[in-house]
Amino acid sequence: MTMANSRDEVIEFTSSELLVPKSDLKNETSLMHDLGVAGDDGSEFLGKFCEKFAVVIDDDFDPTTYFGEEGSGNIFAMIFELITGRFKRNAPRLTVGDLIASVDTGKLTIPK
Amino acid sequence: MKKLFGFVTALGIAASTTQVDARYLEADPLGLVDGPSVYGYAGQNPGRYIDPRGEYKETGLPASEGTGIGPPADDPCGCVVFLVGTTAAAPAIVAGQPITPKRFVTKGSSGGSSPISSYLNKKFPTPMKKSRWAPTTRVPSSKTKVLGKFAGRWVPIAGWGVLAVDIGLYWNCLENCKGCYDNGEF
Repeated sequence: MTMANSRDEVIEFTSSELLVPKSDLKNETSLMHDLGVAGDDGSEFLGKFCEKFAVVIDDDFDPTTYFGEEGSGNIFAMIFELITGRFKRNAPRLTVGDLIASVDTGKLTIPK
Repeated sequence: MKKLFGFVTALGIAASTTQVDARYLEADPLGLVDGPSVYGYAGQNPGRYIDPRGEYKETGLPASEGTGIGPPADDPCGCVVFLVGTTAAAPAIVAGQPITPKRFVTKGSSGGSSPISSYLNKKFPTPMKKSRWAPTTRVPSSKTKVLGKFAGRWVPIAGWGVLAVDIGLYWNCLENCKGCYDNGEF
């Protein structure tokens, strides 16, 4: 698969899975920061992505680090996050560009 | 006759709150001692008072003492009724905590999913036409396209809302009740 082909396929896949317009998907677009993918949605998306493109993820990959936990039961932590934005600011960015690169290498190198 | 009517009215009010419009057929012989209407029953507040003799309103005897009329002795204003919603809100809040293992897990995974979100996601996996705002604790601006997950994220938030309203009403009732005590109504 050429770089151009893999880019188109990843954009197509991401757009259809996350229901976002293709025009919103750039290399630097972060799944969580820009598209609002969080919780189990992020984990499930990566699971489908790895399956479709035969990409391997590092064993120490922790989806919670990139997408947070699923659930909204702790209203105080949510208000704290709304005010400070600490998690979003500190969480590593997993971008569309990272996904495209992983298709070519066969391994998703998780940004630290 | 008036005594009988008072007793029957009291029983009727105890059985159904729709009886609050009940009126005496004769004017109160003592005049306006119980409020602006001589035909009204128990100061128009049958949830708190009884008037079996048709003369003065009286605080109802504790239900635990056998009459079944009036609020419990330890809650004379009946404020506890405002905490009923909490019984539904508390489980919704607890179910929104990330306490179940994630579905997609690798060796280094931590954290988890909320039971209510996982359950509703399985029950209603239908994708919506577009992604909608459904906040998580860590990402309040997050969206989801799955109907079940959307509902599962909003249920605990609704639970917090119900809990806050309940506590506000309960607090307000206690304050009013304290005022009644201060005015010697109990």
